[in-house]
Amino acid sequence: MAALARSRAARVALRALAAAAGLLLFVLALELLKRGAGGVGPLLRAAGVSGLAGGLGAGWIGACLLLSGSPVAAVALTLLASGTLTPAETFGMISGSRLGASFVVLVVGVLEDLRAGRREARSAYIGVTALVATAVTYLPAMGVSWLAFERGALAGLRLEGRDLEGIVERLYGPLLHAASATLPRAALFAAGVVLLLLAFRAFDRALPDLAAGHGPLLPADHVAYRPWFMFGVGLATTVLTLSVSVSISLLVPLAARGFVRRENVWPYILGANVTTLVDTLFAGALVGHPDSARMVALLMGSVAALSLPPVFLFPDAFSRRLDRVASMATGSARAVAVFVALLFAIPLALVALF
Amino acid sequence: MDVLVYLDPSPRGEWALAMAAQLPAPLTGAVRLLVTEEDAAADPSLVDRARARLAPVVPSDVLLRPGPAERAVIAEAREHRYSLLVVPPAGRGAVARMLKGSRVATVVRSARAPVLVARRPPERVERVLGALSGRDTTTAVLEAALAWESRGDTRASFVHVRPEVPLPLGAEGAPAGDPGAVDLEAARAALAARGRDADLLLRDGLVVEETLDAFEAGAFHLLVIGAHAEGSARFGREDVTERLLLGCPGSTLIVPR
Repeated sequence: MAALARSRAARVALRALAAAAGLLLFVLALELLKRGAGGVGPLLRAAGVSGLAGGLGAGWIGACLLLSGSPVAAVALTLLASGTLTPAETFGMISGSRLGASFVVLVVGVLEDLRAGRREARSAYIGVTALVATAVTYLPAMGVSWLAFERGALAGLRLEGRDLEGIVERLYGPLLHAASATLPRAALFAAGVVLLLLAFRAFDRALPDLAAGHGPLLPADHVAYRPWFMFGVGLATTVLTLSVSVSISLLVPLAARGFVRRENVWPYILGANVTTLVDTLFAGALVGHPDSARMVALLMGSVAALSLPPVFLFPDAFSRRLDRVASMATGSARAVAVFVALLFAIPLALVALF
Repeated sequence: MDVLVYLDPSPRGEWALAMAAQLPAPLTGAVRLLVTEEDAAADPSLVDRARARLAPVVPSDVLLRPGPAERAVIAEAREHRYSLLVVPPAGRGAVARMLKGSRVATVVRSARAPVLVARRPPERVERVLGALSGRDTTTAVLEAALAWESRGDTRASFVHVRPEVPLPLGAEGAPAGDPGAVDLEAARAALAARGRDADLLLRDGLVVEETLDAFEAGAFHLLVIGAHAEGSARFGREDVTERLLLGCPGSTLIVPR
């Protein structure tokens, strides 16, 4: 018993240590990104990133490159704080990061289908569903939240961040001054991205490991749950994981056998899509731009508001249409190849054309 | 055992009588008619018209109970064991259903006997579709659907829907086998035991939507489904049976496990 208690205490201590390390790395990464942002600004402009659509494309591509949306959303806020991105581009980039993260889930599913030699792209089904559900909520939410921002909504959430600047200066002042003096800005930015990824890895270690559970949390492969219930499960699970990709992989303990019912997928993803912005909200509060936390809160609120009608008012119609699209896109290897190619081309086109 | 037919004074009452008159021998016992006291008082010829409509089937009994209808049916089904309850839908719209609930869904939830929800029956029930989940109610659904074939001119077919999709886990966590393989095998085994392997229609998708789509595409007259086989009464769970019986454009026979 005593050994068990000691082992539990050690695990808790390790998690606390990981959380503290993650937080310190996170703050340092944001500072490096801000200082290096000037170095990537010309690159973004040369690539034609401008406006909501350009930001969307950049966020999408960024999430595909980093295999995660959260770091890209945090990067978008540092670019905003350094004056490299406009608010519209930032809204676009954060939303694009969510679409890119869903695209990663789709690509992983396609690879899994290829590995398993499945004629129909069944693993890709969840990726397509994630992508379509994300697009349906995030694209209008991006526009709505930008309009609300322009009209001064949630003005009370403006954070001046002077206190934080003082803390950062005391913590990292010498290191940041030395790095800024010796490294080119693009290198500072790259170092910031690497540290950000390390910070998220540390956060992963700090969070409870739901996947290591012995039994199924919910038999999601066997039972059809009401959409509001799975929406709540998605909300809660992603608060604990901060990532939709990780959250979707947590459907494993939900499902126990590695399968999940189609009926349960989309409301879970809609819920996960709301709380996946929790870490971005946190980054918004730390990044030092007075409007960044407000922008994330507006986007989060818009996504939540747009997710509620499908979940509570017309779940059957939404489920039917989403399933039709996902079934069509994954009905054959050719269909999924066309779908993936199209989705790969969209962000490139958005950056190139807008 | 006896069959209980609820007499609805609305035109939908005709649906229940039409289905009761066509019941196959294995499902038929003595037919007892149930009418609410309020309806009997409001329409004194209701029972006589029902007797005439059911001929040559002769009801053994006419039962009077205070309404509303669902309460009367449930109370009667609790006091006597019936082999089948025949009930037409109340015809409530979405708003009325939200406020008062669904009559047939309430009966199905509360009664332990099979319930035949009579809806727009054809002159002769010739095409029956049994929805096999591969779980608890599979055998009961199979037997109930095949019972209609005893009429000679009726043919039963079966559908199994696979709603599961594999999770995109990457190579390490990928499970072996196909999604839903266990349930599909159970459904196939049950059919094979009755020599009906060839009558299974396999679909992938959302259970309710695919089952109803198969029903409409095959121009079936009667859908046979299992009742609450998935613990649907528990918190947060979807009642697939209820959605099927409310969404089905034709008659639905709900059999308990």
